[in-house]
Amino acid sequence: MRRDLLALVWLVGFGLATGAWAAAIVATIDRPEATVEDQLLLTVVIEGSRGARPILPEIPSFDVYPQGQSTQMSFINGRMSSSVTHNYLLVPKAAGVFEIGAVTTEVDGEILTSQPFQVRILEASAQPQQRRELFITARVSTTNPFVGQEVVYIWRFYRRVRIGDARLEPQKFPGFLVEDLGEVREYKRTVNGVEYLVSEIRKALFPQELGSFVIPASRLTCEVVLRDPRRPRSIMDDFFGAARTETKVLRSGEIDIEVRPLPDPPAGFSGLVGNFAVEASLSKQQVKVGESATLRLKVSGTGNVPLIGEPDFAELPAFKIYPDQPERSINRSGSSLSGSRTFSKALVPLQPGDWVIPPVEILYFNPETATYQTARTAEIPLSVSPAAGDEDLHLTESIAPNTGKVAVRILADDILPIYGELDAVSRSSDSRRSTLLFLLALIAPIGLYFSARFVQQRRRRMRHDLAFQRRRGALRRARRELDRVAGLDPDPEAMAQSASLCLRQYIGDKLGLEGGALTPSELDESLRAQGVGEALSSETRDLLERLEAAHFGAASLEAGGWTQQVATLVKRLEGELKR
Amino acid sequence: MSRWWTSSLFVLAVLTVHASGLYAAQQVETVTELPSVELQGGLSRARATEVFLKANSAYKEGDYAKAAEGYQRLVGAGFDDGRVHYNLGNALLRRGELGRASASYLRSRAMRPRDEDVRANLDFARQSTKDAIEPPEPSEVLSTLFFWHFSLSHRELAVGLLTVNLLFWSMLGLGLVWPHRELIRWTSFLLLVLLLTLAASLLVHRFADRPVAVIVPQELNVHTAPEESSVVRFKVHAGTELRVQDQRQDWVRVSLPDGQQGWVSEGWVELAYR
Repeated sequence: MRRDLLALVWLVGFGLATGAWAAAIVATIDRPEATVEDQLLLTVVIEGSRGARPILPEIPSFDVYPQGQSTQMSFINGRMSSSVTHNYLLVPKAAGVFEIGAVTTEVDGEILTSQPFQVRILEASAQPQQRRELFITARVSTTNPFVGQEVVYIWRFYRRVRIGDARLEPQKFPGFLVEDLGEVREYKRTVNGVEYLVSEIRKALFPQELGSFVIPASRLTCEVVLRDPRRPRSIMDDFFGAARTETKVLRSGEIDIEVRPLPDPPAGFSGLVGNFAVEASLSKQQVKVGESATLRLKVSGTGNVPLIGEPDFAELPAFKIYPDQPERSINRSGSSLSGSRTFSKALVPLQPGDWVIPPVEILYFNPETATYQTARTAEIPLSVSPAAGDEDLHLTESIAPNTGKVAVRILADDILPIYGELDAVSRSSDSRRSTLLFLLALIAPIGLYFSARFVQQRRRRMRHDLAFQRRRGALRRARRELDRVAGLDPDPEAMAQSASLCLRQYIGDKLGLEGGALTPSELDESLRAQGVGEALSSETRDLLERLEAAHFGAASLEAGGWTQQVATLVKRLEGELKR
Repeated sequence: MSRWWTSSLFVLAVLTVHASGLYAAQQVETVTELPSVELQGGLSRARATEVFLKANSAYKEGDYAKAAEGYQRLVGAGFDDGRVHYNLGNALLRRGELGRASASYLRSRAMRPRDEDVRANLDFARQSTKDAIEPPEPSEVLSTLFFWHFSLSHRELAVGLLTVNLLFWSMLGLGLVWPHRELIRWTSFLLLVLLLTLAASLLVHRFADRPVAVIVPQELNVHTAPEESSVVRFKVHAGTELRVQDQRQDWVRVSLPDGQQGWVSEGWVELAYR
């Protein structure tokens, strides 16, 4: 860092006018010989340009991991030189002698190339393991399994240095059904006198097809903490991350597996490969007709346990059989896959007698002996006694043994009988009539209420509003008065006077005035003001004037004529004033 | 007082609109019931009694076809009493027509919601269905909270409404005579609440009730669209009750309790209201 700073100061001080040194590229490897479990460090130094990037050749025999770059600058005799170092980690894929081709780069339009060189990669066993600080191994329980046979794959990571940030690439197992065997196990193990910390992963592999398969190499990348021998390790190193680390890529070998076919399977082969057993048990061996006993069939073993199916069970005509949901348990914690599946059935005997539950068999292939084997249960006797006399009528089961009371069981069910009442057809529903009746019944009380309310309001008004009272009773009073006058006095003059008074009173009642005190022309005006037509009001005035004239003997007319004329006029006025 | 008027007149308007609808719905129900029986005009009451007695004796003699025909004739002529529907359901069930029997029991239950016999026979019919599908019924909480809605028939609700209506307006009438009596005021208020409740119940029956489609044939394809050529989504069997979501021309959209829907031809189902 200080050197970089110094370089910067020099750069500022002398300016950029000074030319750079001639450009060059150099590729070097840290060692010419290694094993497949090692890794090599390829260093590419480009001088004379800080921006140039190296182009690596095709290196098919190695996995290449870029490890970053560093820049150096120096001034010698007033000339500036700069170089960039690129680091790559090369992890060999196989043993052999390989050539690392020329690394190229372009500086100011000039193509530069490095010298190619050779690397020799030895087999892993060429170097004793105990000399290494960390390595991984992968092995299988057998490389020549039968189809369906369990192959246990064991992967171990040995280390005796501190590491961090370990990353295991996901492992692939083409051609196999894979079941994990528990979590990662950690333990210590001494190999050739050296103690290692070991992480172990186990998987159960089941080959699905015949042929040759390769389990590819597994690869683990981790950071190894480097120790400075001159300085004791401090807890602060961990805390501040000050410890230097180095990336390591570990690789296990590939594993070749040749899958063998099973010998010709006999009829009834269950498809199970491994070591299996079957057992049967009955919950009780003495039952009555109608009671149930539970038969449990348990198939257990090691091998391809996920494939355990229900064994064939002979038909039992004397029983009704109700199967239950099977239960499954798989044990993954052991060194290989084991487990069981239990099938339960409720057997309900239909007839009394001494019956035998026949043996149940499963046929499986045992890869250890390479033969087909049969696991079989023993026969189970079952004694069925007849249901006790009275209980035939209502099959019962004890629900409270202490009291001896029993729950009634319904034997059979049927629909209830039909209705016979004749009033079921007493009424025919006519929807239109029903709607009408419904509406009427709904509206009638409302109508009645409003009528009552109207009558009440009217009565109240009549009681308190005198003008209203006069107005409402005007016609009635006028008619009564006219009738009385017509029958009372035959004198034309008196009759004219009475008729005139009657008409004026009627108009007065209608208009809320004192009618008897008004002149014909005043009445005429008042009528017009109330909206009575001009013709009718003039006619009223004329009649009144003529009646007055007759009263004072200026005109002569028949008495009946006056009352009739007044009655007609009142009728017309009533019609006009109502409007 | 003017608030009383507003609410009362509102109730009146709503009910008047509703009343025609309610009876129109009942009329539709009667017609859809009997696709196969000729409606031969009205039957006199004496003739209806004779048909009923003959059908009953045919049933007792085991001639269920004849019995069913008699009951159907009665229903078609407007004698759609809940007991006639129940008897018809029995005759159809005895003949093995599970779907139509269930529909008859459902109609009977709509008219006699508290009849234990109807309930028992409907349960029996439901137990005989092949599909493990719960019939569309209101939840227990709902039917307890709104007991009057679920345990009174349409007719009972209508009669109740008329009675409460009469009482309410009579009480308002008494209020005219004694305008300041608290008792009258509170009774009117309570009656108005009751009136609104019953009216709401009738309205719900009229507008919110969806019919139930009861499957008639032994097995019926439920299609994705209202066309015979469309994909068959699932199959249902005789007597299964499905919720009706929609009706279009001659097709009915039905749904399972889990929400799965499909279309069936209307001719293969019987529609019944709760």
